[in-house]
Amino acid sequence: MYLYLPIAELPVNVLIFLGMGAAVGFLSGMFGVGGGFLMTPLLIFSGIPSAVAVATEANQIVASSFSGALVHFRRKSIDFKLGSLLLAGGLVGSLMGVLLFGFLRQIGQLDLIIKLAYVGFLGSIGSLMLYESVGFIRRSAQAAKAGKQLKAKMPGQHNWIHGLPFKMRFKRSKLYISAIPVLLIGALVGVLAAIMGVGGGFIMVPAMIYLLRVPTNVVIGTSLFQIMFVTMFTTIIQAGSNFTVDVMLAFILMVGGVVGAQFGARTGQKLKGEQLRALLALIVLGVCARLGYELIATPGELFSIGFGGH
Amino acid sequence: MTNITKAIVALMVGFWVQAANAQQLVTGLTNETVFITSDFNGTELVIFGTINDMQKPAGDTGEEITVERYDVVIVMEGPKEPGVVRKKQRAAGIWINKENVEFGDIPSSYLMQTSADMEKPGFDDALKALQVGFDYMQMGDISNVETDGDVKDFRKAIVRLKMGNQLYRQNVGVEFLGDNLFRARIQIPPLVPVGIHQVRSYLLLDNELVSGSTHAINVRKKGFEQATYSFSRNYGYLYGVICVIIAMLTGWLSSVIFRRD
Repeated sequence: MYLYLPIAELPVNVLIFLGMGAAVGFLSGMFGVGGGFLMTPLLIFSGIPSAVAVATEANQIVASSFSGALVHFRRKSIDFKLGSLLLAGGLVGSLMGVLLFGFLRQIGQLDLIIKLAYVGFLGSIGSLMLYESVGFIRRSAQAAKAGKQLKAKMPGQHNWIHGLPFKMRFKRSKLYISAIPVLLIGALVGVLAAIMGVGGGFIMVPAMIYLLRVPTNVVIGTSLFQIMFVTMFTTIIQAGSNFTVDVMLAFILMVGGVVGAQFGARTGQKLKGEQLRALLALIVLGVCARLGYELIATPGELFSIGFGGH
Repeated sequence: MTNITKAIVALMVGFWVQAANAQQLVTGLTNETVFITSDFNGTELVIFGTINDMQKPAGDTGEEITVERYDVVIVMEGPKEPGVVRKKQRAAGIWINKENVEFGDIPSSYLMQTSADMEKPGFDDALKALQVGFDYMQMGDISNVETDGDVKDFRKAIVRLKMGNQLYRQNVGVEFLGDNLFRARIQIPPLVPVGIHQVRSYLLLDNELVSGSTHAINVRKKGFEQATYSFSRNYGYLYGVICVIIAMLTGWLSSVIFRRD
């Protein structure tokens, strides 16, 4: 069943894209991540122009993060003050990202930078996650032999971040920290949302846990809160300045995504946290390897055409 | 069949208005607008043509000209746009766009059908004189050349990349149905660009151009696709806001439907 996308200006097979939405939604529901880092490369592999893929994916993430944020809102697991500060950084970052995006496309290095960003971020986050989760699985196996129970090691209470000025109190998170790293993390995530077509949860969640020491129970809700508004903003700016948001494509992906996420969440509950993290790390590293290979391997086609403006 | 009837009527009108003192090419199309609707996945356009006075001797030799001495070339060309062709080079282990050449007027699509195959003696020279076909078509002025290699390779790359999307094609496809009636079916690919396309037909006698005709074809979106597209172009920010609202509604609905707490 083919449907012509009005903005991407090409026909796509609806069932394939619904399936892609569902598959990525399943993984995102299972691991509690947005899935943008999987969906955007998938869209580009399947022939959607990268500018449209990145902008449209931001629109899809609005749906999934809004749905997730509602759940956390009901559970009161959002730190609105921290979230708003992350958001302030995020909006500035997103605006810079959209401008950077236009500039990179003009000089013909957009695809390279997108791929390098993916390889860099996915490679480092994936390796860290894999190292941490496999270590935990091994240690808990040894502890089980010795008949003891192992608790996840809580990161220490203080680090260099706590020495920075402009300290603010975040009651919900029980934190008293500088606003600077919060704004910077928010801004970084905003830039990534605009140029990589991701929500940025995979950067923000570890950064909040390991750098800011935000308690785990408010991390996900707060990051979803920030992602929701940043991707809303990114969608509107991309639509207004680059004309690259395809509402039909976004809708197909959303529908597949929300359904897939429900089944993913149920599957995820059957697995242990560290097993989930190890699996997610493998998927992240897989995407990273796939994109890295493209940068290194001799391409079948050395040439490409870029058309101005569109 | 109504389209074909229309084409035949167009042909007959053509007969009537053409001057009759030499061979004349008269062509008609099944439709002059290609509408892109939500189920669009490529389509076919049929062009009919006839040759007036084809038996009439060209000079005063008195000998009759047979159909074998004629050839027809039909080109459907999409709107032209400037573009930059980039070539990757390996630098520090990774492949980076390094060389580039800009072309001023790249046809967004180029669908050519001929009655003769390219091997026919003299045919290639005829195409060269007409500046049609992959090797001789115009791609506009070349600028910003940053390459040590051959600019021709960049030109060939355009043809190769566009052929990959079925946007460029050249093949033998003009069929003679009778002594002086011919037909060509042009396969319009799914990725056809919107805009005004030119269909140019050339009649060759012994590889020399004797007559030609041109039609304009409007490829445009229709209905929902057109409305969405023009809205997104004219009111980009408002369109973005609507996209966000749709996403929020979808997210909210899913959280209501699948609510578990």
